[in-house]
Formats: sequence, structure tokens, C-alpha cells
Amino acid sequence: MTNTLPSRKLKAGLGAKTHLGNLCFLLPTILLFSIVVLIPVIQGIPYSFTSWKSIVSTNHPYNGLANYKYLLGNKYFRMSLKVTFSFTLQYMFLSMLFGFGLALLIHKASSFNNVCRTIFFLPFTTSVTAGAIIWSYVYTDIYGTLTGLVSPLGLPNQIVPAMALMASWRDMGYAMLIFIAALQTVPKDYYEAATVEGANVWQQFIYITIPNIVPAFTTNVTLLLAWGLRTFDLPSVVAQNMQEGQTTAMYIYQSIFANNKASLGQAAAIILTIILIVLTQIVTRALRRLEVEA
Amino acid sequence: MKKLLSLVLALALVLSFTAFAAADEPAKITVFHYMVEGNKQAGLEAVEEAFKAANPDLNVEFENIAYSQGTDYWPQLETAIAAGDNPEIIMGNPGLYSSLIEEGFIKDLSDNEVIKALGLTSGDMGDVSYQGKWYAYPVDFKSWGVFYNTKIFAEQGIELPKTHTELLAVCQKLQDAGIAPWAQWYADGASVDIEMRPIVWTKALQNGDNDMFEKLMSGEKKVTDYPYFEEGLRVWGERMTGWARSDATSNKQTDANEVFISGQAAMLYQGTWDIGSIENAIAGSDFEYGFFLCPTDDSGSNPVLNVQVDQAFMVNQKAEQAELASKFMEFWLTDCMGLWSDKTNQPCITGATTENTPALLLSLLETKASGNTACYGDFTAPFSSAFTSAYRKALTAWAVYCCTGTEASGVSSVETCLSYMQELFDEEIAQAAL
Repeated sequence: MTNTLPSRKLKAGLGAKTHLGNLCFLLPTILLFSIVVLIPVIQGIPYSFTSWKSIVSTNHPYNGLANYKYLLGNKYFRMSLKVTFSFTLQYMFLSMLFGFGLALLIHKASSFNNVCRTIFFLPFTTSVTAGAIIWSYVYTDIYGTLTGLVSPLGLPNQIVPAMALMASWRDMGYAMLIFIAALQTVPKDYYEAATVEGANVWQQFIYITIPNIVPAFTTNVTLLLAWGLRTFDLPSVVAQNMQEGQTTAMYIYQSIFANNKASLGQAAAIILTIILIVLTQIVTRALRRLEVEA
Repeated sequence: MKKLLSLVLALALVLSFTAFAAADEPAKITVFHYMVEGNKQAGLEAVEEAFKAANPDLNVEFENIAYSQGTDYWPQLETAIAAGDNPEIIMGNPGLYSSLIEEGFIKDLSDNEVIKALGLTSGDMGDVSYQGKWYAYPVDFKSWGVFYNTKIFAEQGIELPKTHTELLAVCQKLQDAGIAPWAQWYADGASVDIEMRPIVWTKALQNGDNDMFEKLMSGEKKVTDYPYFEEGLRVWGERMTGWARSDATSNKQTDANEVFISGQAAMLYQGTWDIGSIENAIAGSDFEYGFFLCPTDDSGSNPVLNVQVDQAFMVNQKAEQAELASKFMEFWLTDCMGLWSDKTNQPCITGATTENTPALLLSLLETKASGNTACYGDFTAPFSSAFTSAYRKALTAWAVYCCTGTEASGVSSVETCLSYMQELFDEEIAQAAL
């Protein structure tokens, strides 16, 4: 008993040292994140309890919870949340579908596959505005000319799926890379053993591939959920005057800047942030449970 | 001791260089603007060069910072100013930038002798005023109407329409000949807005409702209190319904210009601000176009020219070179209006012309001088950005319904559009009270 005490102390000391070392490596990132994101976010919270109008104004009188009460009972804010959720679900589904499909096609190492990966990843590097212009032509000059139908960007009931398709075209390459990385880590022995046991390709896919790449699903879902919920750039380019395409991030931007209601926009931003944190936590935990089961 | 002496001498040398550099450093005038068109940017640079040439004793340099156009300009400008940028010259009509005035950025020009000497109308000066004071130098003006393909009109034997019914007949004739009557661009908020103005502005001012926008924004009046909105929606609806192309609600300004210039549509309802872009696009081709003011009724009388100051520039009195900036703007108004007009194809607010001024601009200037105008500046206050945005959303929903038959935000008639518009206005009023 007495002999074990010094060794425990030694272990604890070593553990603390390791933690300290890890912390030192993380410190620059933590500092940068705090200065650029965390501190400004915290500093911004008090403004949501004021009636601050223009951001060039130095006058921001306290108005309690008025902004929050207004937003929670407001039809157009709720509508913007509905558009955001609808867009996010469609965008996540399409990005995962395309990303996973492409990953399955080109995950094996070869020169041809490498070229394909680069090509499929390219849209992720283009600016949203450029992407929106390209898709405007696709919808109007190709889809519209071939079918004689109205461009989905000009129809209120089709604008959200149209934007989701544009966004997933841009981000599917990123999702694909994460899936490829995961697919390459699945041990080949599993497939060999399954083949010997008589499992067909479909059974191998369901019982070996999928369970082994659940962490990739978790990563993709977490990232796409966050990107989808805060989508601003795309609707601001293609749906500026169409209510049915107004996301919450657009509502925030319009309130703070265009409409000179900075505190209202700030309150809306805080509500969206809370939703984003809660949803991300729920989804990530649910998927992690699947990882454990797998 | 030697080391100390060397150090002192070296320090003196460095300081003298610094002092020399500071003395020789040019005065910098920064211009924030939203002129995205290449010809306007070239026009601004030409005026700046002319100023430098006319003032060789002044060591001045210009920095022009262009922001994207439309409702995005204000957010970008506001963010830049809040972040500490302090430009000397800010493009914009003061009524839309009231917070800059209230925070003391914008110089009061009410006693400016150069502006007074221009002898501009109350309508012109109203566009550069806020609460009765002048806050910007007006440079040129804009209007809107129908640009038409002269070749198609000639081939189809079409006369210029004098009435609304004749215009609808022209549309039908073109449609029957397999030619799309209109190149439309209703994905752009400016488009839906200018389609309404010939009725809304003109009728409101003719009926003495100069405070219409002010009363709508305060909630004192509703849109249904002004019959011009109902009439505007009905007349514009008749212009749209039945002959919209499939791209009408997804096209933006440049897309519609392409459709028009490529001959895919015979007419384009457009602002005169884009004459320069159209001219650039057709340079070297045999494409020819004409322009007429859109008839909105069947009276057959000459349509009224809507006038709104387009390029206007405020001077930021908190900026380092505010005085020099004022001098530059005054030089522009007195010595460079012809140069500006030639470079940009814009009609100058002063009516200045040169031997190069095209016939279209001369005709706009002539109509303006005749007084058959409805000037936005004659309203007591302009629609704020928030109300403009709300108004354009309701009009876009109406355009979508008329062009595609699809209900947007419950808009399926003139009445439902007015109701939606009022709902959006009420929303703005409620937010302003927070």
C-alpha cells in the first residue's frame, strides 16, 4: 500500500504535465478564438437588451427583454426560422448523398480518382457569388430553355430546394473528402473475412462499411448543420426580395444593417446561436451513441 | 563619446527624412461610392484628374472605394465608418443616411454659394436634403422608361404607343409575331420599384400628397388611403400578365440587358442610369435602340418624366481633408459637368451639355426643363431603406404572381398585394417602436 503511493503521485504528476503541455499547444488557438469570436460574442449580448438603432450611433438605451419578446411572437422571424430549417435539412441530405456517393465511387487510390477528387472539390473553393451566377445561368438558360419552365429561383415554392441544390453542389466535395478518409481506414481484413463467410457486396456495405464510417457521418452532419443554419450569402444573392427565401441569418443582417435595428438583429443572432448550439449538441450526441454501438 | 555622437547624428538624419516625407505627403481624399459601372468609375477618375490639373499647387491624391450597389451599400458603408474609416466624400442621397447626419458626420451645405448659384429646383434639392437642410452635392439625375429595339419595331410596323391600351396592343402584336415583348428583371428590387413610380409618384405629387411617404412610415396613413398604389399595381399588372418570359422573375438587371441587346425581347423597362452600360455593351454592333416614357393611361397626353437625383455626394466633416473635399465637389459642379456627362452618358442636374451629348440625353434634359416632371425630391421625406425593402418585397410577390401565376406570400390580387404591403409596413413601424 505504502509502496504504491509514490508511483501514483508520479503518475498524477506526469498526467498534469502532459495536460499542461497539451494546453500550451492549444493556447494560441484558444487565444485567437477568444479574441476573434468568444469575446465579441459576449460583448454583443448586452446590446440585445437595448433599443440600439444604427451601428454608427452611440446611443443605446436599455429596453429589457422587448426585442426577445417581439421576435418570439413575430411571424416573419418564425418564418425565417422555418426557411432556415427547411433549407438546412435539404442541404444536409443532398450534400451527404452526393458526397457519400462520390466517395464510394472514387475512394480507391488511383491517378484518375485523384483527378476526380480535385474536380469534385473545386466548387468548394469558388465564391458563393460566382457559384450563384453559374447556377442562375443553369436554372434559367439551361433548365428554363430545355423545359420552357420558370427558373426555380423565380418561384417562391421552389426557391429553397433550388438554393439547397446550389449549396450542396458547393459543399459536396468537402463531405466527399471526409467520407473518403473514413472509407480508407476500414480494414480490408473485414471484407476478406466477410467474403469467406459468404457475405455479398450489399451485406458488406451495410454491416462493415457503414458502421465503420459513422464518425465521418458525425463530422459531416455537425459541419453541414452549422453551415446550413447560418446560411446567409446564397439567399442574399438570389432571394433578396423573396420572403420565401429569407433565412434567419438574412433577417439578422437586414435588421442590423439595412434596417437600422441593430439591437433587434443582435437578439435574433443570439436566439439563432442558442438554437445552433442546442441542435448541434443533440445531433452530435445521438450520432456518437451510434458510434459506440458500432 | 564618438558612439553617442554617431547615434545622435543618425537619429537626426532619420528624423529629417521623416519630416521631409511628412511635408511632402499628399493630401488624400477618400471617396466611398456605389458606382459599379465602369464608365462611371472612369468618369470619377477623369474629374479627379481634371481637378489635379486645374490645381497644380495642391498636392492631392484620391482613393476611390467602390461598394456593391443597392441595399447592400449602406451596411457596407456603415460598417466601414463604425470600424473607424473616415472617408472625405460619401456617395448617397442624405435622406437615406439620416443616422450619419444625426451623428454629425455630414457637412451642412445649406449656405453653400456654389450650390445656390446653380439655381436648381426644389425637387432637385429635395433629393439632397434632410429636414430642410442641404447635405449633398447633386451631380446628375435619373429617370426610367421603355428602351425599345428600333429594328424590331420597324420590321413589325409598330408605332410608338401613346396610351396604355396602345402599349398593350404593341405587346400583343409582338407576341403574335413570336417575339417576346419584354426583357424583365424582377429578381432585382429596383426593377419592381421603377415600374410603379410613373403612377405612384406622379399621381401623389399631382394630388398634393407630398408627405405620402412620411405618413406611411409614421403609420398615420395606410397604403389603401392612397389610390395610386392600387392603380399602379393594376396598370403594371396588365403590362406583365400574358407576355412574361420564363426568366422574368429570376433575371437581374444585367441578365435583362443581355436579353434585350441580343434581340430576344423587343422592350426593356429600365432606368436611365444604365444607358452607359447598354452603350458599352452594343459598341461595335449594329444594334439600335430608342426610348419612350411609359404611357400609364389612355389620355394620350405626354407622360410625366420622373426625376430623382442619381449621383449625389456628401462631405464628411469629421474627415481630415473635409475642406479640400468640398473644394473638389464645387469644382466638379462648376467645371466638370460636361466631362462627367460625356464619360458616363448621364444627364447632368445642371442641364450641362457638350457637342457630344447624345440625342437621348438631350431629350431627357429638354423634358426636365419643360417642367413636365414629378421629382422625388418634392416629397417631404423619402422611403427609408427598411420601408423600401418592405415595399419591394410586396411588389416582387405581385410580379411573381402576374408572371408565373404562383402565389407568393399570399399575393394573388391587387387587394392581397396591398394588404401584404401594409402588413410589412406595420412590421417596420412596430420595430421602430422597440
